[in-house]
Amino acid sequence: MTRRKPTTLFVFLAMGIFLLSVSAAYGQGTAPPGSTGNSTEIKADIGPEGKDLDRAAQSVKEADGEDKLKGEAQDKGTPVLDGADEESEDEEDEEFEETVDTIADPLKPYNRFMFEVNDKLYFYVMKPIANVYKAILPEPVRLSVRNVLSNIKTPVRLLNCLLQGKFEGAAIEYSRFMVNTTAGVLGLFDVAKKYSDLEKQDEDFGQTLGHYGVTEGFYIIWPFFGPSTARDTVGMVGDFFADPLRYANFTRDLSVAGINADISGVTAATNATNETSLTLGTYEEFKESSIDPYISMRNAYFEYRKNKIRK
Amino acid sequence: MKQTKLLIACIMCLFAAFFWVFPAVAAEPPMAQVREKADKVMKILNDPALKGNKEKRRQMVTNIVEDMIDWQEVGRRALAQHWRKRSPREKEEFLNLFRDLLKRTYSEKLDIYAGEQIIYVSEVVDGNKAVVKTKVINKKKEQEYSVDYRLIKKGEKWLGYDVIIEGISAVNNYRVQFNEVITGSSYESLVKRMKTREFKVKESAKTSREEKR
Repeated sequence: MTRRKPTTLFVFLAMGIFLLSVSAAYGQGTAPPGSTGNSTEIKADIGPEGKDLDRAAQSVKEADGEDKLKGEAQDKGTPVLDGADEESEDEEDEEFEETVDTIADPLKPYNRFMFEVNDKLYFYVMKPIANVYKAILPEPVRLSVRNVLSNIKTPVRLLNCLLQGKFEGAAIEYSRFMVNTTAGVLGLFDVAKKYSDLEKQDEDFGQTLGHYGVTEGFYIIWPFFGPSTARDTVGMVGDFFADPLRYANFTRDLSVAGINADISGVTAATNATNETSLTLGTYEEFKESSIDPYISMRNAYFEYRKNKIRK
Repeated sequence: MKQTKLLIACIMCLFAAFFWVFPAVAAEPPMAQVREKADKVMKILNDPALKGNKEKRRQMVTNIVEDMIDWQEVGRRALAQHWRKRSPREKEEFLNLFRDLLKRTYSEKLDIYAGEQIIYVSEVVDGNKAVVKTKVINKKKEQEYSVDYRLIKKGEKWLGYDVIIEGISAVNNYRVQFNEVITGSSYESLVKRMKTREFKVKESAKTSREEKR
């Protein structure tokens, strides 16, 4: 075991780098986005207000997209109940209507089966384990477990920020890691968010691919991992290789009675249990609110990822 | 003399108040309307006296929220292309079933309220449509998610017709589900499913309540 003696020096260095990166992130002279991505992304980089307006305008447009339906109904001569407003049918709107909530699902029979498998896994495996786990650990502890695991995964998010040309996001992720690892005691506490309002930048390889125009491909449900798409599966593999724990040589230290525990596997299991314990009841509620839970989840996954990529 | 002066002053004040108040009422922005109702709901949810009586709390909140929603618009958008094929009676039946489904699922969510706060981000008005963007923050669970309301202007009132949580539109989500059931089997089977669902949920709610006793 090698031990770092000048700990204080390390902390000061970290603080210095943190201050530098914060000022870089918020300074007026931030470098222009190096992204060669689409125009909306460049617009989004202008600033928080610009981004908001841009997205808000988009949602209004989306809302209007649905008006096509109304228009259609009027064309067919059916009495429309509120009838008053007549909006022009844009071809753009029509396009939007075509693209909304459609996702290729050629593996539907398999997916439906896997949905049932994961459903049973939740009720008969994950939920009972999470309930025991919840009984042992109080909520603040479980939130800290979440924070630590998320802090370790910083390189994945940082790398994907850089790959998408989101340098401000990368600076935030870097600062968060520095602050939370030191002042936040190895990531136990998210002090960066609490005191400096530095939000976690939830970026992954699937989003990076989407950012550069890679479409979803098709819908696929994996056992344990749940809903995904062809693109996000490729992204998942990318994230897997970017996971720093994969390269940590802890296996030797963790071997118990000759069994080598895989550290990334153990953290993945811990993470799954921890997350389940923090969100118990959500899945049950979701199922109760839906008419066809499989379709509802497919649409929700699709829209959720689309929204994340837009950000 | 003094009295007439006072009277004139009073009338002036009245006029001033009228001109000042009236346009404000006429053009109340959507965000203010959402905020006003949401504040009322939050007050009920944060009322310690109502915490024990979840049934009453649900009812009070539902009464407030119900008037804020254009149910017809919600139902029509959710059925989309299948809406115009339905007879007026079928439409009414569907609207009732769908309204019950939505009310039930959203009022159940009230029971797990844990001190969440609402932050109003922005509002965009475009003709008779508006989007009010908010954020819901759960400090204890260190969670935050975006909730956007889509509103349509009916008279002087803005009525909600969709809610979008983290990019997922509730109406869109139901639309795809309804479409799947209708195209997969039939409209009748959708209605049947909605009815049995209602029955099932009522039964399970009854048993879970009995279990708790």
